[in-house]
Amino acid sequence: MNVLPSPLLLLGVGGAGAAMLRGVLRAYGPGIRALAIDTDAQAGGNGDIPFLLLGGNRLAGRGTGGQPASARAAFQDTPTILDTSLDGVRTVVIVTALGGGTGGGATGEILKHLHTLGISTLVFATLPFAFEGAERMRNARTAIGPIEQHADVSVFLPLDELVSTAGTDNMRDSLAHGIDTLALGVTLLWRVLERPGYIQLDAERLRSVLTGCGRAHFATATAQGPDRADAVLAALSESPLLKRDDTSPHVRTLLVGILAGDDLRLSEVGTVASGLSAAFGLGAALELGTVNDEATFSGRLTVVALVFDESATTTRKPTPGTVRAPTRERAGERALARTDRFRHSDATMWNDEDLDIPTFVRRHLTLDR
Amino acid sequence: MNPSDPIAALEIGTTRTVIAIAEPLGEGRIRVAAYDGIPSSGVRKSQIVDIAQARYSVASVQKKLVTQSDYAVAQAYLVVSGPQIRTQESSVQIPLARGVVSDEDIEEIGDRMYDVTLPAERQALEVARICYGLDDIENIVSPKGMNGHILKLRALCIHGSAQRIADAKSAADAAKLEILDVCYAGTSAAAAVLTAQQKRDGALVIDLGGGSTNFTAWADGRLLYADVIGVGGDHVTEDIRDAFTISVAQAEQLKFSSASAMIGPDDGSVRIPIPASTPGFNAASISLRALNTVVNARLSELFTIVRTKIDEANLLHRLNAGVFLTGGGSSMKNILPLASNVFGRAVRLGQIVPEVEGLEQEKNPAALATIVGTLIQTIPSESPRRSFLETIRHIFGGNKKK
Repeated sequence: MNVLPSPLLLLGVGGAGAAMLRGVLRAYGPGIRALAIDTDAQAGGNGDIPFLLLGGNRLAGRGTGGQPASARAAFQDTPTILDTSLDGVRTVVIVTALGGGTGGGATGEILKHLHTLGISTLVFATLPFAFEGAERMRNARTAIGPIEQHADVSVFLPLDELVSTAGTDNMRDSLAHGIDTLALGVTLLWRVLERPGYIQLDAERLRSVLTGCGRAHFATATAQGPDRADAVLAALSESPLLKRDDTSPHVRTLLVGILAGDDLRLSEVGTVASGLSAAFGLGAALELGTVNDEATFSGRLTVVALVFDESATTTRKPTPGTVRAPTRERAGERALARTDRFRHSDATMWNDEDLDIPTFVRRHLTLDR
Repeated sequence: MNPSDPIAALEIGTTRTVIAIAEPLGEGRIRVAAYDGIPSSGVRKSQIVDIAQARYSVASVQKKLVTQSDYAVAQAYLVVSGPQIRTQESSVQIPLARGVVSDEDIEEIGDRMYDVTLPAERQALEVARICYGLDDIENIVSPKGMNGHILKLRALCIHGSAQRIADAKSAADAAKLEILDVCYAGTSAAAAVLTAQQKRDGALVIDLGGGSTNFTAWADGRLLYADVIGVGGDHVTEDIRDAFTISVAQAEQLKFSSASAMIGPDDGSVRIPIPASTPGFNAASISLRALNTVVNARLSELFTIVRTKIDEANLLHRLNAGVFLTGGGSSMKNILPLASNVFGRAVRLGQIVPEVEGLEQEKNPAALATIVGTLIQTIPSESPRRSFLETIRHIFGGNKKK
């Protein structure tokens, strides 16, 4: 019997990305198709994770010294370095940290390449602690632009906020809590797809939800006891990762995973779904999946929420084949026009796009001149 | 009709109008005796938009063949493609008189599957068996000898616009070429490059034509899916022309001489000279990275759409023999690795099946897959390949010049 490779790949970019990947694998257990890539050979550790050395010829495995430009150039030297690891992959989930060299420099280039292959991408990128200084924060902010440009979904997580709900000042415990929180969000897709409960989301539906969504926010909450659904809602509403104010854009889509054991009650699903819908606007589309995992979540109710903003949808060049028509054009952008040869033919339409318009025009690709 | 009579096929494609003639060799084998083509006029996206020009193209090819070969073509089978092609699934059933499926039952239900009701403006091109059912058992490949009460058959009908097909026939008629029957380009391409084993194992054939892309999926030896996207090599050419403001001829030349479907790491440092197309204008140069970005974007999108459709039909996991590319666009540089990346499967250039002789000197036989496949499918008499095209009537096509 042929066993198809998983269509989901978890990719850790940079040294911190590799460390996060290890944390995620520890939290989830075996079964995730994963790969780490870094310019520093030491990030590969003792071979405990699949690892690719980026820029071997240019950097000799010594890392970038915190220079994003070196990592960017290293990937441009060998843009197909990942291709042999992408057999059957439809969606890549990237974990990385911005502020240093490889994560900040290579992630945008990797996303750009994955986009040309028609692969959907979801990025979880941490932003430096405030105490790490202005330069790392500046590096991180510089990296955000290319990531937003090429990723289907990008989630930026300030480390200060990620660890703020740890309830402890102990550094080791705080960071462990941050990794656990991140792991719940990162592994949501695997849990929903591979350990489905009573309400399922299939892989292509998830891919469709994720494609071209732009920037997202995410948070998790866990509770126990008879009122655990209400407690989870209360915790989510106070999460700094989901904080919103009057200036926040409308929410377009909510992707919610409800993780529980065999004791999950129908009324709890209803409470969580209606509570989140009410909190984020009834106009938001709700994509809900439940995960039935008695071994991991027995007695507990954990909710992972990914929130996609309305305004984020126009920042992304859509992935081929799963695209939506551009809703607006930025000043100076080229008009979407059919070429003369097809002007008098019946239009070839796909997902509301006119395929007779050159693809590079519809994708707003910049051409070297 | 005489089984040894030669057969002819005509394709009025978006970029080329081609006629091919074959002599049956028996046992399902043919020898392609002559073929030739000229650039098409009056065709856009595989559809005739100017009958007079299309007729001129057909007549010109006929004349070329008469001059260059030993054959005069008066009758031919017509290959059609384009976004006007649609498919429709249907189901028929019959009671089993003796409680066991017999050859007669299979023949009877096979006849019944042609009872497909189509709107008046549609014309059936092909009806293919997908699978059988017996009472509450589905997906039976060969029901003979099985016990039950009701035998069912799911069938796939491929149909086209009667008006568009009539336009193509008119162009041929005006050139005094009688059209005997009409074949769908997608199944023809598959007939040319897939072996029976590959059809059983599961295969996808993508024919990259000038104006459209036809694709068919096969498994268990049967045609399970057929579709057309109105995007072809013409779109790649137009994208290049539009990106660099050059002539169509220059864009076409760049497409095959310089462009790649994949963007290479060193492309940014390479520039391609573009001679001035009009005297008095300066020559220019373009970046290879820019050229490949344009081509990669178009072809990635096209393959992704095909993959999405095959995935939606729940057939992606059944393509154990892989994906096969045919048509003029299949010779583009690095198109195989790009397609392989998108499909996550082995992708190969289609090789003409061993039953066909006469193309040994042809540089890119995959480009002739649709017309060669039509010849294979229309072999007269009791050839075992006849079942490929069950709606085709096997009538003589092509007179050898006396």
